[in-house]
Amino acid sequence: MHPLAAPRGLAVLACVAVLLASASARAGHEIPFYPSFYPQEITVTLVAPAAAPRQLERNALHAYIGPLGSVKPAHTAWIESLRSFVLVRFNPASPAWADSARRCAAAARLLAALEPSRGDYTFQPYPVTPYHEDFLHHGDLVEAAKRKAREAPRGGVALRIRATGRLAELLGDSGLRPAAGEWDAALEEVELRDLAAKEATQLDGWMGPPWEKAGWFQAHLVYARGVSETGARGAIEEALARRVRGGYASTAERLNLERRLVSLLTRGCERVPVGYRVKREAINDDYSEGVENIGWDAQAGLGSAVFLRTVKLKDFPWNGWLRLGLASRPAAAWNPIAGFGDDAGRLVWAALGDPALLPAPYGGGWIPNRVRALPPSGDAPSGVEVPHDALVPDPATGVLRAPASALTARQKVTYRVMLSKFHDETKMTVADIVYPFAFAYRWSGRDAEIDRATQVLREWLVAVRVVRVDSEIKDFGELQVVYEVPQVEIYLRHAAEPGQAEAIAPPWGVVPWQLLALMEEAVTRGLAAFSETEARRRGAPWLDLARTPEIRKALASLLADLERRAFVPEALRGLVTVEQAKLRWAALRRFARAHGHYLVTSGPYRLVKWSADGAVLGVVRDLSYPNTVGSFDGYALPVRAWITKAERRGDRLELQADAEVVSKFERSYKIVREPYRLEPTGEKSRDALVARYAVVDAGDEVVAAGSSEAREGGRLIVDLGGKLVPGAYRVLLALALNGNLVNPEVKVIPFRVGE
Amino acid sequence: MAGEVNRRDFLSTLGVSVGAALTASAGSVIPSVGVAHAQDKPKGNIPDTPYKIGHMTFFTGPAAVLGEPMYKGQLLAAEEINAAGGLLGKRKIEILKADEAAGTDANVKELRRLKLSEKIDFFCGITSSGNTPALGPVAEELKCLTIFVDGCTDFLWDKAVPNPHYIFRITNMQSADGVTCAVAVAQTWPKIRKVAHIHPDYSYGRNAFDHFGIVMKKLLPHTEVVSEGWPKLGTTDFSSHITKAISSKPDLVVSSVWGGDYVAMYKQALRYGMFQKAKFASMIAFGVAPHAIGKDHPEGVIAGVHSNYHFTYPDGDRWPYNKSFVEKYHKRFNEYPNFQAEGGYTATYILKTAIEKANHLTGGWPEDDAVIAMLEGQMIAGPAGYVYIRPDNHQGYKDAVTGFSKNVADYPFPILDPARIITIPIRNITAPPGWPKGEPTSTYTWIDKTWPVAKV
Repeated sequence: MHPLAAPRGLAVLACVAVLLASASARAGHEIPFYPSFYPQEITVTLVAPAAAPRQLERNALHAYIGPLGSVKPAHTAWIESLRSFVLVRFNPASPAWADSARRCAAAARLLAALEPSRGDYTFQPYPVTPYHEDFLHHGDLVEAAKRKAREAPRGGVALRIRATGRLAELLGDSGLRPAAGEWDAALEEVELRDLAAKEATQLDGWMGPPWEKAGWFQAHLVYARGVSETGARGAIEEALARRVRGGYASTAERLNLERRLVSLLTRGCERVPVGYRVKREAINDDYSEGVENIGWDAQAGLGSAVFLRTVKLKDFPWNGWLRLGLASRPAAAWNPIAGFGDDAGRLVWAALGDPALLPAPYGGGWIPNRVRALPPSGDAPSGVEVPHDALVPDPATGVLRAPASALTARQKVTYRVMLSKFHDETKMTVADIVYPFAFAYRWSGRDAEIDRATQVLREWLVAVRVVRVDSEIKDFGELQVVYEVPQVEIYLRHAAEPGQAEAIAPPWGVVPWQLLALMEEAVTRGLAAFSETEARRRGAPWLDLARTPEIRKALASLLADLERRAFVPEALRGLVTVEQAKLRWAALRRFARAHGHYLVTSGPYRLVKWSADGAVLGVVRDLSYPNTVGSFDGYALPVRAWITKAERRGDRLELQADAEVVSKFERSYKIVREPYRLEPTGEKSRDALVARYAVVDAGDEVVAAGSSEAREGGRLIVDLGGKLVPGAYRVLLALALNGNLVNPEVKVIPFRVGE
Repeated sequence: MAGEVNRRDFLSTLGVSVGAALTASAGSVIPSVGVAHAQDKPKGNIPDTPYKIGHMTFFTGPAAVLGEPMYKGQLLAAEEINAAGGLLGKRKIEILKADEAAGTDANVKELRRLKLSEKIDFFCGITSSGNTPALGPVAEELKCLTIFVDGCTDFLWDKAVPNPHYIFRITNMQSADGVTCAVAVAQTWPKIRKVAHIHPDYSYGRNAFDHFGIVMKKLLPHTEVVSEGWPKLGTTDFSSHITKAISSKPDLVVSSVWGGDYVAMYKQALRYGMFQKAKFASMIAFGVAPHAIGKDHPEGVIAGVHSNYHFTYPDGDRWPYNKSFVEKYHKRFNEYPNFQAEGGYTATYILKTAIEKANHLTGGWPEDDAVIAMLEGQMIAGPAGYVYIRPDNHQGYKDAVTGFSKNVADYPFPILDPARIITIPIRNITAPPGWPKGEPTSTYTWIDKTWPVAKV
C-alpha cells in the first residue's frame, strides 16, 4: 500500500465545500467574495507595434504588451520595466584582442566616449541594475564603475565598432563610426525576455530558478558565455555552484560570493557592461475605456502574472472585457511542461496557469499564490532527520517511495497548499501536487529542456512528506467557503535563505495528474515532444494541447484507451484508486469534447477561443478558487521612499524618510511624495517601510547585511551594535516601501568603529 | 389599514413625493452635520487624550468601491472636528483602519483587538451584511460603543441583536430597497402588467424580490411575475437571464444585481435591446459610487441607490448641508460621495452631537451610557436629510430615495435626474416599533398584514 493512501485517505477528500444559506437575510448586496481576478474575459491578440498607438487611442486596446516607440499615444500611461543589457563584446576571432589588459584599457576609453543616458537608455558600466533587488548589495561597486568610466582618459579610441540601429546612436560624438566589415568590438543588446525564454523554468506551476530575477544570476547568463580563459571559467562556475547550492554560512558570505561572481564575469573584459534599457509599455488611461489598479513586474513588465491579477477596467467595479495587444504572433506550442515560452505564450500561461509562487513584482523574492510557506527550519550542520513516512523520488523512474534507510536533509520547508477545482470540475487532491515530482525525475533524462528546468529541484530535493489535510474556512456571512489545505513538508539537500528556499521545490502542480499522464503517453508513443528542442531532435511535433488538430485527435484516441484501462501511473498507485481514475479520465474527456482542447488547469482563467493571432480567456469564478478579486491589490501602484536624513547615534543609524502616498479618486489617482508618517499604533498597512543595508569594509568585503523595520520617534533605526569589529566601513542603505526595491536611491554612509 | 383603497390615495398616505426637496428651516434647533465647533463651552474637565475610532471597512477587493468612500466620509468629519479643537474642543480623533476584507472571523478578532489592545473608544464602519450580525453581538459583549455605517441586513435587529445597547446603525435597512423600488414603480408606471425579475441568487436578491413582490401585491395587484432569473454568485454571462426575461415579453424588468455584476449585465442587456423592449427598475443600480457607472447606461430607468442617498439630492439651494458636504468632500478627495461616504460622515457628527449633549447634562467627559442615552431618539440634519435614531432598535431612519438615470454635461457619469427624485418617509415603509419579529422580515409581515390592496 502506498505510504499516503491508507492512513489519510487523502484521495477521497474534497478540496472545497461551499455553504450558501438560502433563506437567511443575513447577507447584503455586497458579498465581497469574487474568486479569480477583475476582468471576466481577456482577449490577447496580435497587433503590430505600428498599429498599436492608434488602437490604444481609439480604445480598441486596454494595454499593449511589449515596447512601443518613444511617442506616447493619447490618454495612455507608460509602464517601465527592465528591457535589456547593453554591452561591448570584443571580437574573439581577432588576435589583436586576445589580451585582457589590452581589452580592458580599450574598453575604458570606449566607455568614456559613449553617449550618456538618454531616453530609455541608461549608462551604467556594471551588470547589476536598479531593476534588480540586489542592486543595493552592489551599490558601491556600481558607483566605482561609473567613477572609473568618468575618470578614464578621453580620446584615442581607434576601435572599429560594430553597432546597428539604436545602438549606433550610442557612439554619438565620439568620432567613432559603425564598422561595416572588419570589427574590433561590437555594441550589443541582450534582451531580458530572450534570457527568460532560454533559462527560466515554467513547468506545471513551478517557476524559477529561485534567483531568476537576481542581478548576479542574470550577469552570469549574459557574461559567462564570453569568458574564454579556462581558469577564469572554472572560477566562475565554482562560484556559481557554491551560490546556487547554498555553499555559504551567512548572508554576508553569500553577498561576497555574488559580488565576486560578478567581478569574475567582467574581469577579463571579453564582454564589458555599458548600460541597460527599459521597456515602456502602454496602458490605456481613458476615463471610461481605460484600465487602473495596475501592477507589473520590474523585469517582465505587463507580460506578467501580477498584471493580470491586478488590472481592472475603469468602467467596471469588477468584470469587463479586457483587450490586450501583443507584438508577436503565438509561436511556441501550448503545453504546460515546455511550452508557452514566447511572449504570447507566457502571457496566456500567466492567466491559465497558476504557479505555486509568483515572482515578487518589485523585488527578487517570491510571493504566495497557491502555496504558503512557513519559515524554513533546519540548517543545522547535523541536518534535519527525514521522517520514515516521507517519500523519496527514485532518480530514474520518479516513483516516490519511503526511504530505505535513515536520511537527513539540511533544511525543511513546510507548505500549506490551497487546492481548488480543475476546469474539468474534478477536485484537486494530494495526488495532483505530488505527481509533478515523479514527473520531473522520470522525464529529466528524456528531454533536455525538462532536465534543465528541473535541475535545481532535483539537485535540492531529498523527500516529500504530506503531514495532514486541514480545513480552512472563509466566512462571509451567508457564504462560508471551506477549503481542504494539505500541509506538506519538503526536505532539501542544501540550505537556502527565506525568500528563496520556498521557491526551490514547492509541492504543486497546476494541471491534473491525468493530463500529465496523457501527455506522457503521447510523448512516449512518439506522437509529439514536450519541448521544441526535443521535437526538432526527434522530428516530432511540438506538443500543443489546443491548436494542433492532429495532436488533439491523437490525444482523444489515447484518452479513450487510458479511460478504458482506468490508467493510474505507477507513481500514483496506492494513492489513486481505479474508481477515482475512471472519474478523472471521464472528466477530461468531457472537458475536451465541450471545449475542443485539453488545457485543463486549476488557474483563474480558462481557454475559451484561439486563433493563429491570439486567444480569448474566460474567468473562472468557481468558489473553490482561493484567490479573489483584490487579493493582489497591494501590488498595484508601487510606491517608493527616500532617505532624507541619516544620523549616527552610537552604534545606530537613525533615518528620516520621504515616502510616496497614493491618493485614489474616481477613476484615477495621484502619487504624492511627503515626509513618511508613522501610522497610528495598530493600524494595519501594507506599506511597511523597511531599511535594507549592507556594510562594506575597507577591502570591499561585505561584513554585515540585513534589514530593519525598527522605529523610534518617527525614525527608522538600523542598529549595527555588536555586528562590526573596529575599523572603517561604508554602510549602503536603501528603503523598500511595500516591498518595492525598484530603482532605489542608495545612500553610502561612512561608518567607523573605534577600538 | 387593511382593505381596499385607491392607489393614488395610498401613495399619498405613504408620503411619496416626486421632485420635491427638503428645506432646512431657518433657526432650526435640530443639530446638523458639518458644524465642527462645539456649540457650547464644554462643562467640566475634558481630557486631551486622543479619541480613538476603530474604522473597519473594505480597503481591498471589490467592495472597496464602497469601503473607501465610507472611510473618507469619516475622515473628512474627523478632520473638520479636529481642526476645531477636537471632540468637546479637546480630544482629537484618531482613526485606526482595519480591512474588512479579512473575513468575518478575522474581523471579529480584530474588533476584539481594537477594543482590548488598542483601547478604541468607538467602533465604526462595516459594509457587509455578513459582518454586522457577527460583530454586533461582540461589540455588545465588549461594551464597545458602535455605529455601523452599513451592513444593512434586517437580520441584525430582527435576530442577531434584538435588544441593542451599545450598537447603532445609520443606513436604511435592506428591506427598504425592494419596498422603495416597488413604490417607485407603482408611482411611475401603474399600468404595467407583466414583470420579469433578475436577481442574484443569494439572500439580498431574495430579500429584494420578496419585498418588491409584497408591495406589488398591495399596490399593483393586477401585475404578474412572468419570468424569474437567478444568476449565481460569480455569474459573468447574463445573456441567458436577459433573453429569458425578454422572451417573456414583460412590461417591466426588475433587478437587484449590483456592482460589477450589474455593469456587466446592463452592458450585455444593451446588446439585446432590453431597455427598449421593457421598462427597467433596479434597487441598487447607482448604489455603488457615482463614478462607477458609465455614460452608456440607459437613461430614464429607475436606478436605485440602496434607498439611501445620491449626492445630487437634496438640492443644494434648499438643503445647504448636502451642498456643503458635497463641495467639501469633492475638494478633499477629488470625487463625489456615495451613500457610504455620507453615512461615515453623518455617523461621526451624530456621535459628536451625542457627546456634546451628554457633556451638557453630566459635565466632564461623558460615560458611554450617557452618550448612548443621547444617541437614542436623536435627530440630526445630515447631507441626506434628517436622520432619526429610533430608540427601540437603534436604527437610523432617513427618507428612502430613488430616481431616474440621466446623463448631464456636468458629470462624466450618469446621475439621478434632479427633477424626478422620488422620496418616501422611511417610517411609512418600515415595521413600526413593537411590531412582532417576522419572516422573512418584520417589514415584510407588517406590509403583508397592514397595507391595503389598491383598487385596480
